[in-house]
Amino acid sequence: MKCRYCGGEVGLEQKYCPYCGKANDQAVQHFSDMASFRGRYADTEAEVIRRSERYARIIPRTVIIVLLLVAAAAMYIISENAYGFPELMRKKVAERNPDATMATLEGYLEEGDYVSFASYISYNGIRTYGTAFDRYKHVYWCSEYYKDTVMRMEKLFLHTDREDWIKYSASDDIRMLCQSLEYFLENYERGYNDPDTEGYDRYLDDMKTRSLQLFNVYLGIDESEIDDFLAMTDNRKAAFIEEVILDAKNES
Amino acid sequence: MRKTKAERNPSKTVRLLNIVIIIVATAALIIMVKMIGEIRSAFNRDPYSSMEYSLQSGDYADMVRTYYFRSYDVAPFETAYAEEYNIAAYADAAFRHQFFAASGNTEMAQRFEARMQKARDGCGSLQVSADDVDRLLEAIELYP
Repeated sequence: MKCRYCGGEVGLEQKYCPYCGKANDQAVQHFSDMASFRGRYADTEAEVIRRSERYARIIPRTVIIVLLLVAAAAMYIISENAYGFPELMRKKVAERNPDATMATLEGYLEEGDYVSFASYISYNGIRTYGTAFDRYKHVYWCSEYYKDTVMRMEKLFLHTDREDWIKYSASDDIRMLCQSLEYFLENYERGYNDPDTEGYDRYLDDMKTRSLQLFNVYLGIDESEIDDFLAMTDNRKAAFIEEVILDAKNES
Repeated sequence: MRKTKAERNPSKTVRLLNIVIIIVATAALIIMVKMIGEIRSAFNRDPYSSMEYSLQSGDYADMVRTYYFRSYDVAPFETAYAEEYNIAAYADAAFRHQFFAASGNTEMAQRFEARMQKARDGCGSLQVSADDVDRLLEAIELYP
């Protein structure tokens, strides 16, 4: 640029004109601006460094805390559901080997061992809806309630502490026995003649016959009397069955 | 390497976060130990330990329930409760043999009679409990 006094060439950083020696006003302004800029730059730089150092400590720690919380939550959920893992694994194995599983199930049905059939499906967590085992859906539910009926009937007779049983749990056991039969009959009606499970109706019939025979053989309730018996109140049912049990106790 | 001023004098926020990390890490460690314990327990359950109590109280029906609920869990003869398992199997087979015989289903009755015999053979020192089951079944008045 040119000196405004003599017109000579003078640089921005020359405070005085080298020709006339006058002060270079623009240089003065330039140096003042640069000083101010450097000061602000230094302040900003210090602030950025300070904040960066602060966040450099806070952000990783925050991330660590979040990760630890997520890991703790995941482990808690896993521990709460751990008892389901063996069944989940068995279910996967059964679903990956449908032919072998079905062969086992068909074997139980052919033998008429509906209790083992139901137990096997429950134990392996096999789903009978929307899977390769869809054909067993009605047979399974009927067999579950049939199994329950058998076991609850066993409960009435296969224990030695009869007084305690009558006092504390007889009415519940009797109510659940009758409920098992009711649920069985409901599922039987629902499943019988379903075209999706054609070919398995004979097993439903077999289980129905045996369920009703259980009530006949052990409680003297004929098939024609079942509906009336199930229509009784829980108290009357309990009284009826307790009388049968007590008669058996007196005999022993 | 020398620590910076910030490293030598951490802010209150940083100190608080350090404490929170210690607390959360400790909690996560405790939960992890619990998780490992639960998983081990789930895969190493002894399904028949509850049978001992049922046997002592003479609740054979409860033993049968456990037997069916867990009979696929482990090979029962590999557990310490093989005899209890056989008592449960005997009680169930005897009841069902009685039922099928009374209802005229000879094929099933014979099948369960064979199961009874097999289970009886495995009762070992618990033969008296098998006799108890027989006594309970004999006392039942069956209807024609």
